[in-house]
Amino acid sequence: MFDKKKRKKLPKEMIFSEPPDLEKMTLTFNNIKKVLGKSADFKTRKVFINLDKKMTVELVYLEGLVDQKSINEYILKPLEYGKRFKDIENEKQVIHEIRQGAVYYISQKKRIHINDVISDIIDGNAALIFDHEKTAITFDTLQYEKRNVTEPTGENILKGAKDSFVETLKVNTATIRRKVRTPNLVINERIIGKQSKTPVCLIYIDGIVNKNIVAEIKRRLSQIETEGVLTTGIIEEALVKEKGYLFPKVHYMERVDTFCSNIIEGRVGVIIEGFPIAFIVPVTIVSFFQTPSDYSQNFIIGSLTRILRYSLMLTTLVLPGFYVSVATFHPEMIPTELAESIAASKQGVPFPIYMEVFIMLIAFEVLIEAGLRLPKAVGQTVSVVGALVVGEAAVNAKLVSPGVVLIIAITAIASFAMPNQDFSNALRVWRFVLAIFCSIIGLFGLAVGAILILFCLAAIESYGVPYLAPYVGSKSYQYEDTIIRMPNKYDAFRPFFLKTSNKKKGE
Amino acid sequence: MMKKIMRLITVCLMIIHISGCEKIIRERAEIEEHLFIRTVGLDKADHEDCVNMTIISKIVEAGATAEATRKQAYIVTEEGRTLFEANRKFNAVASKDVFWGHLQYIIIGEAAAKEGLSKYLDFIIRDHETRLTPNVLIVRGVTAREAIEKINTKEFIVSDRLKSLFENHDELSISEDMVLAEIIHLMDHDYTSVYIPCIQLVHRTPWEEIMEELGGKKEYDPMLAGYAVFKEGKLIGYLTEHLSRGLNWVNDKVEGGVIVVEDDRGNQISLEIIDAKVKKIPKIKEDNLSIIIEVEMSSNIVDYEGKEDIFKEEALKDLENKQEKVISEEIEKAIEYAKENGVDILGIGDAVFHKYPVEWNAYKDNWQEDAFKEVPIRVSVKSKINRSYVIKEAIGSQSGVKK
Repeated sequence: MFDKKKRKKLPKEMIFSEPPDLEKMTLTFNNIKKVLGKSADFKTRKVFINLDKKMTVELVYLEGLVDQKSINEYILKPLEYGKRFKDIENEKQVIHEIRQGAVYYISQKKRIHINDVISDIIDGNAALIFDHEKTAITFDTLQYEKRNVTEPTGENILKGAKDSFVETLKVNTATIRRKVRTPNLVINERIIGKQSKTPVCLIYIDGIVNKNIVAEIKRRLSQIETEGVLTTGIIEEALVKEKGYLFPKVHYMERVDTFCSNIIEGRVGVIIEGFPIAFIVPVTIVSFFQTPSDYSQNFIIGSLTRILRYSLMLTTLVLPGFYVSVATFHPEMIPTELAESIAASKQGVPFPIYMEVFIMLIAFEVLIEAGLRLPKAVGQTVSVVGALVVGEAAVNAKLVSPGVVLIIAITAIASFAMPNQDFSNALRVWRFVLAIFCSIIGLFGLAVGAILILFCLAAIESYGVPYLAPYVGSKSYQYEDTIIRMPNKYDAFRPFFLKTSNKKKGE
Repeated sequence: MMKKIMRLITVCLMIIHISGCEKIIRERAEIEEHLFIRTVGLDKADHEDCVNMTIISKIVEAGATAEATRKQAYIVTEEGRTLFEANRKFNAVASKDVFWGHLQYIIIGEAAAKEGLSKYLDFIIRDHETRLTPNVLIVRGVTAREAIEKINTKEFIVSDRLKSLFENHDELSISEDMVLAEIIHLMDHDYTSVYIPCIQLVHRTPWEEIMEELGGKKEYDPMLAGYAVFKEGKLIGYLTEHLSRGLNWVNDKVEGGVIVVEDDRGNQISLEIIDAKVKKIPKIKEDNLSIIIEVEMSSNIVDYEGKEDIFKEEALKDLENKQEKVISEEIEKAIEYAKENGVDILGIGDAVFHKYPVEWNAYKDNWQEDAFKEVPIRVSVKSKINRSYVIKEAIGSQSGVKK
């Protein structure tokens, strides 16, 4: 009833006409105008070939997408003043002359279907439409405002390239091309999204990459049925079909150099128009601990920082649970002095330790979430209020004991040392799971939880590559670039587990 | 299906965590509900067959800053027919659960030690919370309660003071830090007798007296004073100073110490023991058992009264001989004591048993009372003086002028 009432009230203008069926239309100016003409940015101009008033063609483009200066210089000028058009009698000859080079424009295409013309125009082309011949010629005059290549915001590095991906796909592919100049670099483009029609590029190196993986990615991408690719999640979820148990199975990055080194190793990259991020598949857990600075420093320093990163991963995952179980179930494990001072600081706090830990863990998540949403100008308040209220005041008010605040602070700081945010998010959830287990049966619960995590990790597989590779599943040991980074001369092979068609580096 | 499982898990978690039944998970207790004790004193009570148990715990009151944090000792004594009964009585007094996991020192009073060790140690060994690592010690002349009260000071509670005491035991090597497990080992064999380090209360810092005049509490220092020796689990006497170092020599427990000898002019020389190795070698020849105790040690000259040049081969040789004599005298006195009392605290039965397990059967019965007293023990000491540290000649010997 409610619906009917509303429908009656709708004004007539609001009812849209059915979208025209492009397949049945012939390629004429009027038809194109019918499709695109409702938009304000649709512009046309009548071109008089050789300034002859009888010989006219229509020039069609979308304002803002095209470079008007080059249309003036390289398309209009030759058409109206060019000597080669003097003896022209019909449109067919015009087309012939243009195709022969009378209009000197690098990228021009002859189109006979209205579909192609319209998508060309939307892509930023200017189209010359020959009504009698039912033909159009499109010129790639795309030009629009784009962001400059800037320093990466998320992954900083001292010694290394400062360029990162930008929103424009073509700029990104160009940056990659400049870094990887082999002719075998393949940039395979496809369009995804019914409405958004977003170009998505697969990037890999022929001769290195495992062809089965490329084929599988292509298959999965072609199965996507979506209206628009406006978040990366659509592509990510399509790339990942297997269970992940919260652990990321696509590696995202905004650094071009990391991306390229992954491509060279034999992985496949995916970049999407409109996102300053690239994706790499297949991934293993090892790659979430690698940062480009590991390779730009002395191998000993690189290895030490990597060991640090692994131990920080353990810290951020296990520490709250460990504290809960040691303090509630196994006080004999704490050094006596410490046990006494923990007990003293806990005096007067009404909640059990596991409750305190949960409260603080949740408070920490709240702080992170609130900090993300706040505008930059007031961003400081969260940290100030959070640190003061949640930390200082809560301790003074005996809501939480200082030991727990310290433990959660260490956990939080350790979690920020993870290079990959997706991986860090997975750890955030598993940390809670472990803490719950520990609050029930202490260290035994911690052991059970740890086994559960290991079980899940071992069950994950992406594109046939075990997630824990090369720690498991590889026939030959390849630990040159795992917990420690060996000098480059020992790292002579591409990862075996990727089953690359070319095993040895440098071949 | 998945929903049902999730609901089940949630319900279980809620039952376990949120319900009022605290004891649904055994052994879960908040850390502040424990009373951490590091030192326990065991005494004979005035009543017949009763024991006194004294616990001391550090009560820390957390303040906002380190200075505001107050530490206070909490000393309670409870009487019970058994240790466990006394232990349970604490819970009525202390409002907290006595937690034995951090026990570091077991102090046994003299009277209790005379009564018998096993009665007092059984509970501590049997209980699952305690470990086998606490140090056991006997207080000479007083009860454990008295010792605890006297040693305890405002700044340092008993365990702190005992800790530093035992950390320095190798400076003189007249005693040792023996853990519960070692004592269990000594008690378990019929061919060994128990010896436990003992402490004595001394009152020798003069400024304490001044403090007392000003109204302070008279404070005592604990001193490591050798060993208490047990026969069949009962205290029979004490080994002190040289005698106890003799015991340490035989048991290869000497790590440092001072040997004072005289040179031919009567000047005293201090030798610092650097390292020592002792072997007990039992030998059976034609059914006759004999023991050789081989000591190999080296020392450095640290202190010399005279002005002669002692850094000469013959002088050093002479010093080495004198040093060997001192050591073998110490050892022989200890052996004499052990044989007199029929207590094999020297580990000789142990050495024989491990080298001659078959022949041991002949000595097995009545080893300590009989065969041990008869067995000839020879002591051979090899010593070496390594260096004289920074200066070769004594100051004032004017060796610098000659050059």
